Amino acid sequence: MDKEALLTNYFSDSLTAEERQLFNQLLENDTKFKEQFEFEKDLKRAIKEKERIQLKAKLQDFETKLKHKSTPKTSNYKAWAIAASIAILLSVGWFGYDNFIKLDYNELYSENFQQYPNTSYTITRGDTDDSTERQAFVAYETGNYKTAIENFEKLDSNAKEYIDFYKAQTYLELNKINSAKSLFKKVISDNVEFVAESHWYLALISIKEKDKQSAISYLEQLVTNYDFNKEKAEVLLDHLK
Amino acid sequence: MDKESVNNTLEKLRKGDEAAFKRIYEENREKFLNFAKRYNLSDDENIDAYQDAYVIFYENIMSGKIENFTSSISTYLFSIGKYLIMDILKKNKKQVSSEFNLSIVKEDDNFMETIEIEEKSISKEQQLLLTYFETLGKKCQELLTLFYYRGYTINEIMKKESYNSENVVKSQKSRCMKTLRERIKSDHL
Repeated sequence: MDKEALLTNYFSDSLTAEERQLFNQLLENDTKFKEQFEFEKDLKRAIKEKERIQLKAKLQDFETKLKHKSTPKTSNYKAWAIAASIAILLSVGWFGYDNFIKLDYNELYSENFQQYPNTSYTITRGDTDDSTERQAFVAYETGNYKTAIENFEKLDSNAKEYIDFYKAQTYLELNKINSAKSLFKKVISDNVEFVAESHWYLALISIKEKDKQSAISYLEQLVTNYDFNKEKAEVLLDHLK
Repeated sequence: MDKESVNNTLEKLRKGDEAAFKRIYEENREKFLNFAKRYNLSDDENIDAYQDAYVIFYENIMSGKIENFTSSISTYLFSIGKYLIMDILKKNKKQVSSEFNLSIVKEDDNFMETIEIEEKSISKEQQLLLTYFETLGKKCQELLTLFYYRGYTINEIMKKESYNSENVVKSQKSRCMKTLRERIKSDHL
């Protein structure tokens, strides 16, 4: 077999085991062969780059059109702006202000609360699966929390360890704080998925309930043991102390 | 989506169906951005990661690395996206928490082994090749793209482009390569 055919087969991914062996030998011992190989490999990457640039341009175009369609949403920037303004307040000296600016727990809660996205159960359009779990997550993602909780309640939370966490999220949305609280605590004591996240939400619940001590305690555990929302937790801690 | 319609979609993508390319991008966008939120990157970075993940996903379909789906499309995008985001986080020196539980990704991560993710930037030599590749005639560009990008065999190219024989394809390809080399040489030696 000639060298060119070897290279051709390499690039169309059709080398036999025997050819592969020969190919590797040549690569080691034949500098001209190696040079040709490198040239073709670089060309392959160059063509890929050309296609990539075109694809990216197409996607940017989709993106621009989408942005024109959709209404602006609260973004990360808002969270950062809030964090920054809190930081400025702190550097001025929160202590002095505390006397006449009352700690607004509700605002602190709503600024920091964000529903946890469904990252555990994939819903695809036209899915034939019509399980209770699917119905629960579809409702959860679309904000039908009543339906979501009805379906979550039917599920066996021992079978899928993430269920309790989403159930707690749903209760939180339904303003059933105590149910949410005990489920988040259960997640922590079971030491399953979303332990760090549960600390965060318990801290937020404590803030909502104006229970400063518990909030501080959950946030401190979060900051010391986990990385989830660490920066936000630190800002909140400074704020509360 | 059931397996059949998923693989049908894949076939459309492979054939270069523009509408499918756009639809799949839009269908998975929100879900991906929601998923990416937890890494606390900026919105722009998230969109960038989604686009890069989408391009890599598409490349792997085009090159035949993904031949049929063993998971849903979003699972592929999430897995590739996770990889890219981890890379950004590493570069930003933000800590990556062990607490990021990716229940979706965990189960299906094994297919990541077959997926090819290359360095984002290209070398000087590759940049040079890209420049000169674009000076080639349309026919040469097409042939070389089919071969190197799409992973077509000589025989498949012959059938697709209705060449008379494999030898015609081979010699056409050699001529294209020779022109490319000569153009670079005359400018750079």
